[in-house]
Amino acid sequence: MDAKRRKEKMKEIEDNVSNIIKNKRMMAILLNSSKTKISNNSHKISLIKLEKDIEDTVNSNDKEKNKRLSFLDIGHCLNDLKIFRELFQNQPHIDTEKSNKGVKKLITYKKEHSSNYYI
Amino acid sequence: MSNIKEQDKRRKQEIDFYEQIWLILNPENKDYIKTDIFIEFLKILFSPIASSIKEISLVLKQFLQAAFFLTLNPEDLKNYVSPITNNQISEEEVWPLEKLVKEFLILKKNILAYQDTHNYSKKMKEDIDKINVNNLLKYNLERYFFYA
Repeated sequence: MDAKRRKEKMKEIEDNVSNIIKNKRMMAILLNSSKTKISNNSHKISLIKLEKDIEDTVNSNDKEKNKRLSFLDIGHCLNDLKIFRELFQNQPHIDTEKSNKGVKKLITYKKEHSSNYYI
Repeated sequence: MSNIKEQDKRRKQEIDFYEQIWLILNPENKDYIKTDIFIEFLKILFSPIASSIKEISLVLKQFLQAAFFLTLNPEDLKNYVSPITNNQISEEEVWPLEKLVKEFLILKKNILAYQDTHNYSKKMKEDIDKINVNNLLKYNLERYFFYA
């Protein structure tokens, strides 16, 4: 990499970093301004409880405890958080990745409905 | 019949959301995503702090930029592959964050009522059992006195 290109690259990285700092500041402003809405103590407690619930649910689905999640793990997390109510209905947790029954079922479902899927 | 239709509609919404959230969190098309990123993403989505779809999606956008800052160059073309069909997906087919938040809010609708009906607390379960035992006892006593 020649000097000119390196200089350009450095400038690009600096711009990105300053953007991130700016974004972080904006996020802080957003959260601070929103704090007025959760000034009530019970709201704060419920917010902490909600965040703890999310952490517990996601961590419990990280079976290998290696801080990473597969597509199926994400589905189980969303099911446990009651966002999915039909997809994993009456389906036990699938332990091994080789038995990707949930995903297979999805594929069949999407194929069956492919003709009139995106209306 | 309408119930089945509604279930079918909901299932379709869930599949679409499932695919899209994976694509948004996995622009590099890896087999796994980081747990921390998913947790923080969910916290923002679930947070009652933000008051509008625009506000939530703005925070999500900033979060994703920060999360993939070191690994992903915004100018590079992203490699989106559907985890369900394994088909290549163009960037236009990936939902904007506003749509993802909107769909999430639809799926989240009535979450407390759903939790109440499908996830009884331990105390409520005990209360229901107690009521059932009391009713059974009452029924048996009535039968005993009736026939006595």
